[in-house]
Amino acid sequence: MKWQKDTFRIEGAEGASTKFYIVGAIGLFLTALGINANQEVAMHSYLTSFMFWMTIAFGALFFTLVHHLVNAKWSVLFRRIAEQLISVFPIMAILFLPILYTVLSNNDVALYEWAMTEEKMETLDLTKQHLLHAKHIYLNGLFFSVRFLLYFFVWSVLAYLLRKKSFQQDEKHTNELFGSLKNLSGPGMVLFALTVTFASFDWLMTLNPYWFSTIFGVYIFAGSVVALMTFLTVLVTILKNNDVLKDEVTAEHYHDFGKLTFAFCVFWTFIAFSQFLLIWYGNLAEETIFYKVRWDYHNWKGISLLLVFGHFLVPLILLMSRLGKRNVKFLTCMAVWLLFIHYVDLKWLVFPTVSTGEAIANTHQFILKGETVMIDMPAPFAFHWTDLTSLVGIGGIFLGTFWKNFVSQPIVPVNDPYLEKSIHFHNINL
Amino acid sequence: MSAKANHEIDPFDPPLVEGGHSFGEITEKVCSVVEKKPGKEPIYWWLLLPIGFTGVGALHIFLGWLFWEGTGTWGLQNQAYWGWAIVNFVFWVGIGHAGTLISAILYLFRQNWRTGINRFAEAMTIFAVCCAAIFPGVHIGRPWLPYWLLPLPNQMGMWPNFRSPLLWDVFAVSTYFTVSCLFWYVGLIPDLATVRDRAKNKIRRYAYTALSMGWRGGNRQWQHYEKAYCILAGVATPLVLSVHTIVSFDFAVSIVPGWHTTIFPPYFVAGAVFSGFAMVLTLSIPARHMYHMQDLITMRHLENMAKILLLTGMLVGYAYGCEFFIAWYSGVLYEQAIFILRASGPYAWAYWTMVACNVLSPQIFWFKKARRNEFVLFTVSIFVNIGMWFERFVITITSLSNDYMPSSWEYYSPTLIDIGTFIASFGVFIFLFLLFLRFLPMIAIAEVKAIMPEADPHHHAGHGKDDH
Repeated sequence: MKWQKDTFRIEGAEGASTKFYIVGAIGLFLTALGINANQEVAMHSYLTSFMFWMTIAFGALFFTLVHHLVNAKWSVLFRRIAEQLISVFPIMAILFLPILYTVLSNNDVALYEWAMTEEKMETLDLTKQHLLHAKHIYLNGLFFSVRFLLYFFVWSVLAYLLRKKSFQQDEKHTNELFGSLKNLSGPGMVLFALTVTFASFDWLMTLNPYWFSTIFGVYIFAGSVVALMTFLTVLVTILKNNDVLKDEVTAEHYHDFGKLTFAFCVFWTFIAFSQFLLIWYGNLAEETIFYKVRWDYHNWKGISLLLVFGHFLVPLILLMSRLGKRNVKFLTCMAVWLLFIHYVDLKWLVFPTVSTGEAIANTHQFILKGETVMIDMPAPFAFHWTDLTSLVGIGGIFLGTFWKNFVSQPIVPVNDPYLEKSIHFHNINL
Repeated sequence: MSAKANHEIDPFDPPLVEGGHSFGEITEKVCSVVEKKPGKEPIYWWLLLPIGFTGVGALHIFLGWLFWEGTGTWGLQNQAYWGWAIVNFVFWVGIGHAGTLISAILYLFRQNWRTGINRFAEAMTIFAVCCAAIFPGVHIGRPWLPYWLLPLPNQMGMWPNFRSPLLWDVFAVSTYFTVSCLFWYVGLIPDLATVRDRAKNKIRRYAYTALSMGWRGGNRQWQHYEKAYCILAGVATPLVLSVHTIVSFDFAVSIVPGWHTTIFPPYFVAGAVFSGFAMVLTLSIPARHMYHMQDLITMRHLENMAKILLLTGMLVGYAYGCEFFIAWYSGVLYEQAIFILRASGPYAWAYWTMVACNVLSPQIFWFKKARRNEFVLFTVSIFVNIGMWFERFVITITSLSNDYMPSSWEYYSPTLIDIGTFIASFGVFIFLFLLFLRFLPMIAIAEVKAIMPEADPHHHAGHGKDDH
């Protein structure tokens, strides 16, 4: 990798993206073997990994939009990274196809219970049947596919326009062009909020089609921003270790990464706590089921507590001080930890719908709409080898695409009028 | 030389102080308002003062009647046991959110434009919280026992119910009030000292000397001051979120359909910021003309506030939509019924007023022309104030008066006492605000100076291009 300081380009690093693609392909192949062996566990792994990388892309789209909207200056150096991260949406749409396939093939075992055939639905408890029928207008293969296409269409078009205008700015900066980026970002933010909310509902909340929470979209959004900020921290450290942006990125920028990571960890907690407290206090069975399966069975209590500590208390205490945020090594370690915790958070959302496989012995009574129904007991929380292969598989494709685009352009918006301000940015020192 | 001459104006980042004023001129501009001889106040001040004063008097009459007769004088019914009192409480507490958001959160985000408006937004916050405290305070049934709200050990060994969000409200609002006052006061100290130093008569000098607590403006003092301010901002930031979160818990922890929904905390916080900023606009647009402060509270300030209204207006719109969608999606009959009733039942007029004012009216701020037109800004801010009151009305009344048993449904109507008390609370607010404008510097003089280009240590009078 050769860093061209004057043109802000990385040269001789195109090969890395091929390597990412190869590793990704191997990962995906192994995951496919896993799906063949145990489709329920492997597809849940796949969905978790898919959401892990998607949330980073959501975060990057948010970062780009908000950067333009608030006319930010400190973050100009990192704008291009975020812009190149959002180039992955079309390829992520292709990687979503296995998930879509489970729905369209009425495979209710692999992921979504609501995807089952009409005949099978008749074997369920009457209450469940009634609910699934009532929701059928929303939860059906056709509408699910239409929404999937719509989300990716919106994200891809937004990404395309934001990137196109940004590359035009590299050639020649004009106030009109700069203004048009901001004008695009306003409606873009509205579309972002709506699509991310409904995508979170569709892909994660409907894993348990009987449960609902109005705050769920905000929860995923909060986690996405943490994922992006921590991913950015790790990436920038790796780049710096390879001499890229070595002089330009300083402790001042890490300080801001740290602040935003801290802020959004606390925001995530605010959202998670609001959801928990209201459901716990209301104590309605159709809502408490979400926490019941994540607390009462096997080792789930430990994982729930791990989130409280790992996603809230640890960053709260360690990132509160100025010192922690300005120490590159320390902050990068924190970022790696938080990326791990973010993955655990997603797995915590996805995996309780994996049943133990011994259906009869492991069903528990549960009240839904005043009627007693049976629920499958969740399998214990455990890491499966497909977790790793799917994470590496999707990650390889994600990073390969990102890297290919990243090195093909200057890695900062070279003609941005605030670039100098971003490079020489200083935090107020009290 | 003024900043203008040295720097090309960035169209995306225009200056926050216009008119090329020097530091001295700014001090003069702000302090002269406080230093006017009695009777020399602007005409509008004299026109508004009797309105405010009448409100204060009327409030005493209405509350006196309430204490004499009991809460039966209000429009409360068997189901709607929380009427206008809680609606007004949430309305005023919500307005009280912009001040601390501007002073704390925008400070931590280094949003320099806050300096033009933070002082009177904070004052507004404190007065709004005062108005808010009236309503639950007089609604406790036995108004001679308000201290029972506090966990004071007493001979009877009684404690308040710690599991009730109404008690959390007591803690949250009183903490918020304390910190807001502290924050406001700490920010005032350097400016109070300026007024003290300029004082020409004895009484004024003694009063402002006492208030400015020995501020001399030395290097050390400023250093400590800045640290204290930053720490207070850090402390106040979670409070901005926590107060309205707990207010939302008043509703959301109960399992009343339409109240029990998990998005309530962030939705209420967004709504509070929305209504607070609307009130800042309602106050700042007349105030900047009344006192000729157009150079310090510029169009850019107003435009930024318009953008925040657009954002937060859409956030509450998002929450309305989410609630509606999930009410359907949940499959819970009662949730569905209450939302259909809201939109088409006896209170549909209130629901659609709320939607029109809160979600539709700020949409005009997509256009720059509207964001820079004071008439439009003022009109929309009034709409938002109205809409946010109706939001709390819709939440409270629809869910209560249409309960599980249709035979007990009854249309809720307020009494004259309800309406009178609410209007009188505006009088209190206006009265306190007018006193503030008269006796305290309405703009943070020291902070405004700090964001002018001349305050930048890298600022060179002759070398405009060297700017970082």
